[in-house]
Amino acid sequence: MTTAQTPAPAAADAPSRRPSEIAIEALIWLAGASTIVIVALIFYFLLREGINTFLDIPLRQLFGRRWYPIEDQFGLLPLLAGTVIVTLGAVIIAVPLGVIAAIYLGEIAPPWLREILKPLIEILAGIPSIVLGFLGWVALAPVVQRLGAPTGLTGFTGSLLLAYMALPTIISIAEDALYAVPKEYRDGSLAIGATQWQTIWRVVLPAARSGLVIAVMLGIGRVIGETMAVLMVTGNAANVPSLGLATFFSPVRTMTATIAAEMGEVAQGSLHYNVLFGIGLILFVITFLVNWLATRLVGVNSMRRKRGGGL
Amino acid sequence: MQNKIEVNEFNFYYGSFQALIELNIPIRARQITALIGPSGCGKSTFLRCLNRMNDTIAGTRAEGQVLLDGENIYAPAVDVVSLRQRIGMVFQRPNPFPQSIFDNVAYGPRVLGMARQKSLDQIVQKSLEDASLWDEVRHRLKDPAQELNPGQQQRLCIARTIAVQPEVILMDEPCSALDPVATLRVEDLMQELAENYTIVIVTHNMQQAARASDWTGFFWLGRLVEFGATKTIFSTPKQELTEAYITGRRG
Ligand SMILES: Nc1ncnc2c1ncn2[C@@H]1O[C@H](COP(=O)(O)OP(=O)(O)O)[C@@H](O)[C@H]1O
Ligand SMILES: [Mg+2]
Repeated sequence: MTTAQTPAPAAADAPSRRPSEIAIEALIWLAGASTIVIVALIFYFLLREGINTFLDIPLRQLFGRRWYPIEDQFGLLPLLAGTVIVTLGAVIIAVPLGVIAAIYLGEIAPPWLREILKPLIEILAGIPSIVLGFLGWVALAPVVQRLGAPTGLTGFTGSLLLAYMALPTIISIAEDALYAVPKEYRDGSLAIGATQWQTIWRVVLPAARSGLVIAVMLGIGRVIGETMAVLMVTGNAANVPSLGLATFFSPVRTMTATIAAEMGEVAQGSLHYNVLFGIGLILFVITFLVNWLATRLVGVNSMRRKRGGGL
Repeated sequence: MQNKIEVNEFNFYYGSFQALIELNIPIRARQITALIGPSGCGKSTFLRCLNRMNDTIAGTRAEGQVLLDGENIYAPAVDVVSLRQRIGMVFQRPNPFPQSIFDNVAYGPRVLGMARQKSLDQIVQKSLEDASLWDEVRHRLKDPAQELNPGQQQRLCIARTIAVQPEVILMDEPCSALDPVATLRVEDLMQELAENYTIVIVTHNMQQAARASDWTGFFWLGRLVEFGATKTIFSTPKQELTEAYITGRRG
């Protein structure tokens, strides 16, 4: 994601070293430094092109409900709402499913089945999102409409599709996290007379917590950043759906989709152009916050582990 | 003398590899039985057969009988989960859960639905007292178990085991990760526990077997070479192999 590590520059007091080693170290340092520079440049560029959004448009309008760029109305609320609805829906679907699937794969499935399922899941992760978007459009949308939605192209359709895209990430990382839990914990629990399910629920899952958080956060990252599929199946209507069940079954439009759809037609340097970058800036900040939250959640745990040593 | 466990013509296989061969062993009630032998001879495998922990390893197979109070624990109708409540196990490396000291001991009573909160506190205290750990942890029950030193962790694991009041306690080299002082504490604890529990301990430490057990079985390549009172085994073993092993280790 957006974190990067730079190795410390070579220590001055190190014993005489071969030039090749120094060169390698310099290369590694350069690679590390370049990621930071690139992130900084992206941020700078977004800021330069997008900052006008927040300077030129009154905040009241900016967080209003009207997104009509032609009339110079740039209310971001519909786009924010669309992103939140689609993302939240996807997370609600994908997180429990993904973790349960990981538990099944890692703890319950017989080895031969696991050998079949794991590569299949990796293949799922590799399907381009535009292909999934197309499938969602021709196959999923009609089903959603038959469920009673006014149209098949709704936030819920987008959520389903995004959940499907996030699942492989969540499953394989969560499964790794479960795998990393020492067998000794499971043995200790089983030897007391706990059932396998009690062992998973009360010992394995808590022990794998930090890895599971990472799995979920990476899944969310995938969902927030997704553009093309969402553009194709969410109906592309920049309005704020009313609260209730209809929230999920109305056409919406996300921030990413807005950028993708409108960037091609906008005049460079216009206010509309600036606003699209402003949206990018907001997305950047959201991603940053998700990352920060993840490190916080994980950090507390790993600190406790470091303090304790143990297994 | 009453046998708590009787092992009759028992064979055990990992896939096609036979790890235990025609074992016949009596385990006396409320006494300490030590199992010795070179590493890889099947001591751990045998111990894990007594509470069917080997069921968790794919491709294993058991033949013959293990009678607990006269009932075969390998009979088809046996509920493995409740069997393990009756036969607890302490492992080679201390393996407290990454939870608080209290939660570790309370784990068994909780999952078995043994206690409401008030009596849970009592069970935890009693178990920690019986594991002679209470005085060291009474003021820090909420601390992570991983903060204890290895000797305390192992006694915590013993407390966790006896919290569900098993009848038999299996110990697989419980002191191999401990320093000599911590080792002696665990041995003393075993003596106290033997008043109420039947104990089977695997050890590669000859002195420990000689010091701490009533009965000793000597394993060699999956077979039981000799079994008898610990005094007899260590003073006048009948088999040359036993003598060679014991004296070789001593000298
Ligand atoms: N999970 C396993 N799968 C296959 N073979 C095993 C397994 N565990 C132990 N064995 C084999 O069974 C034999 C006995 O092992 P073990 O019971 O661990 O011996 P000990 O505890 O006396 O050192 C060894 O040859 C070992 O390689
Ligand atoms: Mg062993």
